[in-house]
Amino acid sequence: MIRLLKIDFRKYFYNRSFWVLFLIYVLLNLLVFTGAEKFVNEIVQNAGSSTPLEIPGFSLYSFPLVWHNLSYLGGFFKIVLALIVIIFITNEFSYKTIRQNIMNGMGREQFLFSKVIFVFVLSFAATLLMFVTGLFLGYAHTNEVSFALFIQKIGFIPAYFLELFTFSSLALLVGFLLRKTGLSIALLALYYYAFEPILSYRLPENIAAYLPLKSMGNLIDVPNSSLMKMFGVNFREFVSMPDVYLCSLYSMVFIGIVYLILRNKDL
Amino acid sequence: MLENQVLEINGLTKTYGNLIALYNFSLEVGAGEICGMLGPNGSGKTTTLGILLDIIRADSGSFKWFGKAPDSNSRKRVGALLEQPLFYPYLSAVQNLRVICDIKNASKAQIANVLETVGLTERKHSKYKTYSLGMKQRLAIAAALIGDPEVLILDEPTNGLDPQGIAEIRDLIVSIASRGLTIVLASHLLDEVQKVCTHVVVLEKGKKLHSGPVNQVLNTATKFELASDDLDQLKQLLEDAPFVKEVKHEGSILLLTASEEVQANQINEYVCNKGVFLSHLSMRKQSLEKYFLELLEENHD
Repeated sequence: MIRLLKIDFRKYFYNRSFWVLFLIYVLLNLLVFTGAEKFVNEIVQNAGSSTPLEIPGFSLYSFPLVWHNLSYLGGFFKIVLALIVIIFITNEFSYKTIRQNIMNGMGREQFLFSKVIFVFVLSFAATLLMFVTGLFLGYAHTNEVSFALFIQKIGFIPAYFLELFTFSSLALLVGFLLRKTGLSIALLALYYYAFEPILSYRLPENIAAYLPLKSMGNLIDVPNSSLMKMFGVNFREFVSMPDVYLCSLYSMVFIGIVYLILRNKDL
Repeated sequence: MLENQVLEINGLTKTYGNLIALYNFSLEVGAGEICGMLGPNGSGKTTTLGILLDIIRADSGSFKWFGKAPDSNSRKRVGALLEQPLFYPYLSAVQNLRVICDIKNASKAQIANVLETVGLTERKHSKYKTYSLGMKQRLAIAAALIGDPEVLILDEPTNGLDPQGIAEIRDLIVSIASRGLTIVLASHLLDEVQKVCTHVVVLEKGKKLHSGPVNQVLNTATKFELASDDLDQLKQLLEDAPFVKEVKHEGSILLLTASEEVQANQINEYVCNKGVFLSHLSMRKQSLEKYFLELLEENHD
């Protein structure tokens, strides 16, 4: 496993497009994580200026709410991670280096495993980014930090990781299936922005909830703001286990299909 | 079974839709042999080698490396260059070879040696994408040498090179071969095969036409030049001989194609007994190229 990790590390460490995309991802996240509170409060205040009601300003960053808020916001940028995964996989096909790897003595299943490790590491790094940012923001914005407060909603962190991992596994599948960079990105984007939204609109709600992107989205529900509470809207403030099972199942299915493709096809 | 058998192929078949790329192909390669695979483009050479390297899945048939069913570990004992060099363009030669060392579990200390062997030491830190075609090909040979392989598979190693590059690569192969490695070399350049190989396999349209030692091909002369005072009389006489397939005029001599293995002294004895004395008799040594073309022609008849 260490060997496979090392092999892939050698492949992307000197790859400029990998680092450019990863940097964009990090900056995008940091910008939104740190700028979100001001942005949301301004909107809420503006909305409230025409009503007689007094709307309190609130913090997105205090423990334990910070974990929920940041993991929800970060979820919007998982498409960038998927892009990295697709480019990394399809490169192996366009350079035909997958052939080089296999004929030099890498098993096909080892090759897949090395890519699953990559997806894992990437999702882990992104989760770490959210965790560290949350840590700083939380300490800065919470009056009295206690351990109980700190870990109260910490379940959102593994859930966030699962969301990223499942989506990146889907990208892995698309990459292995189509082998062409542009085509893979186009198909994933099409599915993400058009196909599944249309499908979930057409299907009955109780079935649509089981679609891949929908179940990934369900993992971390919209955080409640004070404004929403005033209007009586109440979203789920915890991670529900059925969603966890469903997303884990999806990851396994995606990776399982890649395994079957890789086992049977010419490279 | 050959002694010290390195590779055994049993009835490999591969189809792409309606196209039969390889049909019921069998072959044995012993240790130390340099086996040339000959055949026109599209005859199944690359398909065969691709299957042996697990790049292509065969429809049926099987093969064994080192007497055992193939797995990723047996491939670690094989160095290969398939069709074109395959490397990460944004990595340097050294970085690319490090990836291969990790895959093969080979010592990175080898990298300097193999780069020296192929003459790329000076450019070892340049990115692969800046290399000329000849340098890319040489790096591919360097990569194949990583891990001290017992077998080398070389598929068209001089493809797309200029004459100087071809000569360089050929010298390189000869010097590698002298180390006692088993080599399987696919090529459509017959001269190349004739110069380096001990054994030869001829393929056409996925079928094996011939396999055997190169010497056997080159020493079985089936053609003789003859002349005497009266060519027409000689021709008539030879046409009745049991070992003759065809006799024809070629300028001021006769060209005899034998139907079976026959030595020059047997021919001489035969015409002598008939009361004719030859003024010229010589064996026409066959080149691999001629033999190859004849094989293909026979197959078309």
